[in-house]
Amino acid sequence: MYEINQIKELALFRIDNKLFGIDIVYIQEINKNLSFTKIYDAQDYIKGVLNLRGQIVTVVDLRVKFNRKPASDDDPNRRMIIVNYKDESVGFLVDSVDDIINIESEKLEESVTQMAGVNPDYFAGVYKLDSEIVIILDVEKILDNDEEYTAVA
Amino acid sequence: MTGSERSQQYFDEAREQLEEIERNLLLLEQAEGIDLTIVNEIFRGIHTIKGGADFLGLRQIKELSHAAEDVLDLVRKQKLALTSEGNSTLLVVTDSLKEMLQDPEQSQSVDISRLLQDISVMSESALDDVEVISDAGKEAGMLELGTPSDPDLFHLPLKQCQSFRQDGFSLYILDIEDSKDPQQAQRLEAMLSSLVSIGYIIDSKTTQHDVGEESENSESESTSHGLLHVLYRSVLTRTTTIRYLNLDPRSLHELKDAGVEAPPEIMIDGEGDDALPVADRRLERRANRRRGERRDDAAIEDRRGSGHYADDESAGAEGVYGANYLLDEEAEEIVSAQSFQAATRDDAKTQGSQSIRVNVEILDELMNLVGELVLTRNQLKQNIESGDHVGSGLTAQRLDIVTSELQESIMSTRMQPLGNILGKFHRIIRDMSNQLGKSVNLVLEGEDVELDKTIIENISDPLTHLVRNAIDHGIETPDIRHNSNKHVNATLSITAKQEAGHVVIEIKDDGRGIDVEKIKEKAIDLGILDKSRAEDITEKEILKFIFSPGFSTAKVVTDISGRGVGLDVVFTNISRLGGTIDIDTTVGVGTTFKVALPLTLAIVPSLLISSGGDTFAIPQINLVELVRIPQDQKNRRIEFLGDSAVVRLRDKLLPIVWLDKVLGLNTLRESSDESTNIAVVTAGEFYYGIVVDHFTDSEEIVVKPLGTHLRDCHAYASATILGDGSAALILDINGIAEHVNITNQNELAAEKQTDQDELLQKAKESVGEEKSLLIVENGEEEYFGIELAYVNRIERIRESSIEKMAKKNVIKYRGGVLRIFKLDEAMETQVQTSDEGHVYLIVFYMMGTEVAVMVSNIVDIVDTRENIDNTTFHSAGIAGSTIIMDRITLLVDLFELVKVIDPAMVAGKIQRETKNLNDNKNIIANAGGQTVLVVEDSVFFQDKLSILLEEMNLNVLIAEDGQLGWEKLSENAGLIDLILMDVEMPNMTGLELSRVIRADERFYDIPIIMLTSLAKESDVEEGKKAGATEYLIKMDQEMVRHTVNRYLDKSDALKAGQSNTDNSTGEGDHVRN
Repeated sequence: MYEINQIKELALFRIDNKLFGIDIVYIQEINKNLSFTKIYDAQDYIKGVLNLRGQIVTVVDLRVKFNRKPASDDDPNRRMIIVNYKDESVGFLVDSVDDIINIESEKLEESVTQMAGVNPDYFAGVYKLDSEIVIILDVEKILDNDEEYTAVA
Repeated sequence: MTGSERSQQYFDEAREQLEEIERNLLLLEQAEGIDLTIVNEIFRGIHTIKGGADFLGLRQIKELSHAAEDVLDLVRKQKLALTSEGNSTLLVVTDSLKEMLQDPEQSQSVDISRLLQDISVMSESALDDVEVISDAGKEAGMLELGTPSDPDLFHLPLKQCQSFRQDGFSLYILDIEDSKDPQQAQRLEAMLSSLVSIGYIIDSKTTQHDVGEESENSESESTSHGLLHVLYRSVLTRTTTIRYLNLDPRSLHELKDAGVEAPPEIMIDGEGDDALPVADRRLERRANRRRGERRDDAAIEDRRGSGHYADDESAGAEGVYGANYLLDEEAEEIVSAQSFQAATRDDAKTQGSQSIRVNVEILDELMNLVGELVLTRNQLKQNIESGDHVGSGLTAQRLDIVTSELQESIMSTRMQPLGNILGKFHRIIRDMSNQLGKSVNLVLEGEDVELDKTIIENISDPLTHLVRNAIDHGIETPDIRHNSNKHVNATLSITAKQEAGHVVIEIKDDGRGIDVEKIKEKAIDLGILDKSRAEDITEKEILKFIFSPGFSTAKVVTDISGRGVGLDVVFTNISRLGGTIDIDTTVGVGTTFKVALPLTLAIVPSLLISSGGDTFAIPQINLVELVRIPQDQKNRRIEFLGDSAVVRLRDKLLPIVWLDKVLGLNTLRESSDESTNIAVVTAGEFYYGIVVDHFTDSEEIVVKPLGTHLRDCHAYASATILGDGSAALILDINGIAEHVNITNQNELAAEKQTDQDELLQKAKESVGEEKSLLIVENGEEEYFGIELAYVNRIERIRESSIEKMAKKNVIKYRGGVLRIFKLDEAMETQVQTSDEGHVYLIVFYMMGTEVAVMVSNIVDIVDTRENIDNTTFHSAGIAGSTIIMDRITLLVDLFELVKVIDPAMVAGKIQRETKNLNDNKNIIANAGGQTVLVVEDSVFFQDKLSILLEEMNLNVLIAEDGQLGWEKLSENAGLIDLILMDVEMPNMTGLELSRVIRADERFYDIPIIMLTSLAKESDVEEGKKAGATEYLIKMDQEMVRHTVNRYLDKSDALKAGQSNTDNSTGEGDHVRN
């Protein structure tokens, strides 16, 4: 279980106007809408692959993963958050990236959040901002869900 | 050299030394006697390691190697014999040292006490050896073997004893009664031959025993029994032997090892300690203690692994041969799992090692090439600065060459010989054989074959698993092998060789093979094989199921800890390396796993293609050829078998798939516009074609792995980065093939092939058959029917052999020239298409000469000719239509067709005929022109018949129905020579008319020819009954003409009488075409 009280900094981004956060420990970089090669016959949330300085990165449309309609390609605010986990980079497509904030631990809460149509395992907890609530994502769970083979050492 | 560099050097060297030592230990074991040179080498190696460790302050390593060194010293001075057990101990020591050298810091705290103990045990026995031997005054190294009752039976050299007991053999002494009693003698014979079948007899001796207080006649008879002691070796355990030979347990003595390295005397299985000399009792106690220890701390291997081999579910299960082998504990020698961990540790080392050995020559070459590169670069700079385009071009070419050579050189530095990983299999097999009580010979071939370092590292695990699998489940235990007349020693061979861009590694065992039927069943049970497919599925496809995840029902073997076992992982790993794996097996004979790997992982020559607007790469190793089908041939060359498409390529049928459909891309092509581009690829044994939009380029691309999320994609295995920086996917040819189920298609295609040929054969045989209709294809999907009754022959020719002579299509045929008629010459039909350049000629007689009609394809031969519709489709050459196989089939009137196409030809002929007729007319003239009454309600046929008859210079009277027909006949009685009548008519049918005519005595013998489109047997019967002379098919004009002539001639002859017969010219039977 992902320990959210370890989080020091959180990157905030929006999907469908809801605010989400990822521990920056996982984040390699955040890019503007990079062009990528589409793949059609993988799982529906996999949009394609892209070349990131020589590495092939799988592009995941978080909107689709959260059961929302896929984003339009023209949205100028769309961003790609390159996440690093288990020696692999995956790019999350999000609607927009808001900010990177320092965490005050009292505002962290491990409550179970529900979001329509989304696997509750993806959420590790919440962070209370003054105006809004940030849903903290469990990156490991989101990425692990797809792996059918355990990595051979 | 700094301190740490120096220690690094020590570690590297020490590691190499240990490898060498391990190899030598294994060699030693296999050798017959003691090879002192090898022992000395080992000794020196250990000595070096000890020295270095001492210098670097690595205490534990030093101590352990010191102990090993001492023992080896004894061995090389021949004070100690190195047994199998001793060898094992030393191997374990080697492993420990390796481990400690991996992590020197940790090594300080490793507990080596037990190892030291084991070693000291070895040495102790050495001293004992010396003791006892000098005591007994025996020849050094001789052993005394016997049973409790007869202790001193055989003398054998120690070495020989040891060698006898290698490979899982045990030594036994069997006591058999040997008396003059014939029955007993027979039993003895039988026993001896049984012994020969289960083992090898070494020696035998007979002793005399006086039987105890038996007979009262002890004075007269000295009943002394002879006892034959047979010393033999066998792999069967004592219990099994007793059962197998039906022995009295007391008669079989097993020579047990006390568990000590070099026992001076072999412990004898017997009635207790009385049999043992004092010295041995000490050994025995120590032995028991050791055995107990071993049992306690050893890991017990669960014998269930990924058992796909025939019937090996668990220990004690009924195998294919129904033998329950493993039921006694004696069979289970429990050996420490350390040896396995050792082997797997080796892998960790190979994977983790950061240094590599490179041949100095290659380095020199690299230096040269880099030099060239520098020069070329300077040159290029100059060219560009001075704006020298031509020079730049040339320099760029040079750059190309140098870069390629550099690439090759660097790749070759990464190449490691396979022997590096194959070597460890000796150890694995040795250990496994001992553990499982099986006897396996390892044969290695191709250790020099080189592969890229990465591939070697990654292939090590899968190969290990395959080897373990083979030994564990494939190879049977010795007694099962023996019972099935196999050599008791199984052979496992690992061969590697290079084959056109691949390295092929084969793991072959002569074990029990894989029962394909069982796999099939299991696959159906697991739901991965549909029952409906079960019929058509090939053996190769069934075997592939073995690689499905979750296929093995057995538990995972625990001591290959965490490396991911199961054949599904093997498959995945090999696939990820870009390789393929195939299985070949025969039950009872053995199994071969064939792994094919690309020579290098990283850079792959490939063909870039585009489909749906995207670019993809096809690796060259999968590519066979490129085919392009021009637009106009497309519809012909691409045929459909059910849902799948095939293309005829050089007389073979190749299944094809459209890439954009497979991948779910947007189809950009307009289907009818352009030519079809097909890349013919191979996936192991299967060939198929991928339809793409364009072939772009041939390039060497760098292979980059895809992320884990894309592992499930069947169509792609990896990706690359194109020149423009975008990512492109590399197609997984195997994956696509499986996904689209191409394998099945290949076989369907093959079937269709034979179908075509069979059809042609059948057609050829059916010529001349009445009531058979040949269905042919002309253009696209237009079916035509031709009555086989008129067909002489069917030929298959190349369309190209048809020539044009004075605007007519002809072909050289049977020494003459054959006129060919094409359907589109007579009617509006699709332009003829041909199947790979072949067309079919339907040859028939037309007015005495052979001609042919050309069609593009033969579809089928059908028998029924019912429901012919005369009215809907009528055109020149088409007599009617019918529905055959749900398609409208136009029935061809061959003669009409020819007439329409070349009236001149027909007219000419008729003219000649008419001329003849006319010539003869004078003869017949006296009788007047003959008259035929045509009774027919269809105007069309009235016309037709009239024309026909008039051409024959006959008078024609027409009546539209039966009633009128009768009237006309009555009016013109005497003038009418022949009646042609239809059957189906209003007012009075042909049958009725016929009856009426016959009823009238005026017309009792007038020829009545009934014409109809139907010609069922029953109709003919009825007609004849009603009085018809002949019953004909209407559209068959030739027949009509022929028949009319025949009957007119007859009657004519009658009428004309005798006077003119001698005027008949000898022009032949011109009217009788």
